[in-house]
Amino acid sequence: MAERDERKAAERIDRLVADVLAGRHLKASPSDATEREAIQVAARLAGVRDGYPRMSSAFRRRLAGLLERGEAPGWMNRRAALAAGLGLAAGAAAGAVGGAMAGPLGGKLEDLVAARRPAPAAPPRAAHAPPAATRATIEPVPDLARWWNTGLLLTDLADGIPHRVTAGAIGAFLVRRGDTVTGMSSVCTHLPCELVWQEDKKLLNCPCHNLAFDVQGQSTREGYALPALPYVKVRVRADGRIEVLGT
Amino acid sequence: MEQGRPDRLDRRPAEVVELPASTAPPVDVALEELEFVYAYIFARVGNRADAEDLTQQVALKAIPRLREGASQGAIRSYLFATARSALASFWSARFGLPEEELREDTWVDSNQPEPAGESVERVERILSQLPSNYRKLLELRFLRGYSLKEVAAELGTTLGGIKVMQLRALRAAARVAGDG
Repeated sequence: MAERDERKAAERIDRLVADVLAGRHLKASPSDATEREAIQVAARLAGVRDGYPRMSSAFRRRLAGLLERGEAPGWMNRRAALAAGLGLAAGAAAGAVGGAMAGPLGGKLEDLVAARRPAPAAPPRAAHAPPAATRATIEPVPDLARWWNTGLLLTDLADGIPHRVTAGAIGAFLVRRGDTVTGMSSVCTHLPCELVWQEDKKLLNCPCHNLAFDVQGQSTREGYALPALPYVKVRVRADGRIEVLGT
Repeated sequence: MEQGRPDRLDRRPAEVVELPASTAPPVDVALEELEFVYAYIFARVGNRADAEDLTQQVALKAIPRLREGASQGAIRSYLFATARSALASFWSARFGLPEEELREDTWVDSNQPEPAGESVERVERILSQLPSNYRKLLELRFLRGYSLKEVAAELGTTLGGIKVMQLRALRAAARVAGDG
């Protein structure tokens, strides 16, 4: 009897898991409450398979339209609007619109942004992606990988000051700490903008959105931090020459 | 006859066009913040459809706050507080349980949004504490995108057997998560 119940529960959980992994809604119901911890763990596991998920460009456009109008658009159903408390939102919006507003949402949001940017494209989803790692390392496919001589010696690098190099298609910052050199990607993990070293702040700054990384490649953003800059493979030859694995 | 000589043309000062930052449309700013909210929610519900619905709810609730011209920090805090509340409502509606009970759940109870990498680290910690067969099953199924049939073939068992094993592995992972 217990075995049959377990098989039944296993079938049910697998249907829920298959939906979630296919990007569909989680169709759990109160009858699944006894397995809620298992279901939530399944959702959490599915939630890391993308590494750093981004909104699709279609959804981003819809959201932009919604924010511009400040009200529920035609594609939004009544239930979702009610869940969002939209009646209040729309009412407040109607009363707040005034001559002093600089944009559709109000006048003081400009101080949040440094520059305008194009909408990001959704990253490609690999069906057989490797397990998400705490910090990625860029390793070109073997057919393309080759070591590039940077033309730099260990002694050319100032301690703790990133130095920008290129290895084929890969841009990297090299940071020396004593006799050790660490390589990390020169591209922001938020959007594909080249980072710039800001000497006065000791930060790698993303000029697109004014986000920054420290010399270890860790995001300085408060709250929901960006993923760290992926490592780039570096080796120091016996004569002190520094080489970077690129393409 | 110097006309057109490159060195003469090069001496002319370059024309610099400066775009004032204030021309940036506020919607872009809100979308930037919502991108982080989306990632936060996706890490908890694990699917695009629900993540979009919930992000949309957060966006709609935030519109009046955005109009007030609050600071960036205040807007971010508000968005994440709203996201946590939306997640609690989401699970509450699914399981028919009071939000208060679910708010204490490890998946939604947090005073601060955790950094993006912590979701991954947390999952890795959970997996590392599981027996190897459970760990392998969950890695193949959830992180490598194997179908259940492929997982069964990889682990040398039947489809029915692997379904039961998946349930047990998820229960074991939930116990580990609860202890952590």
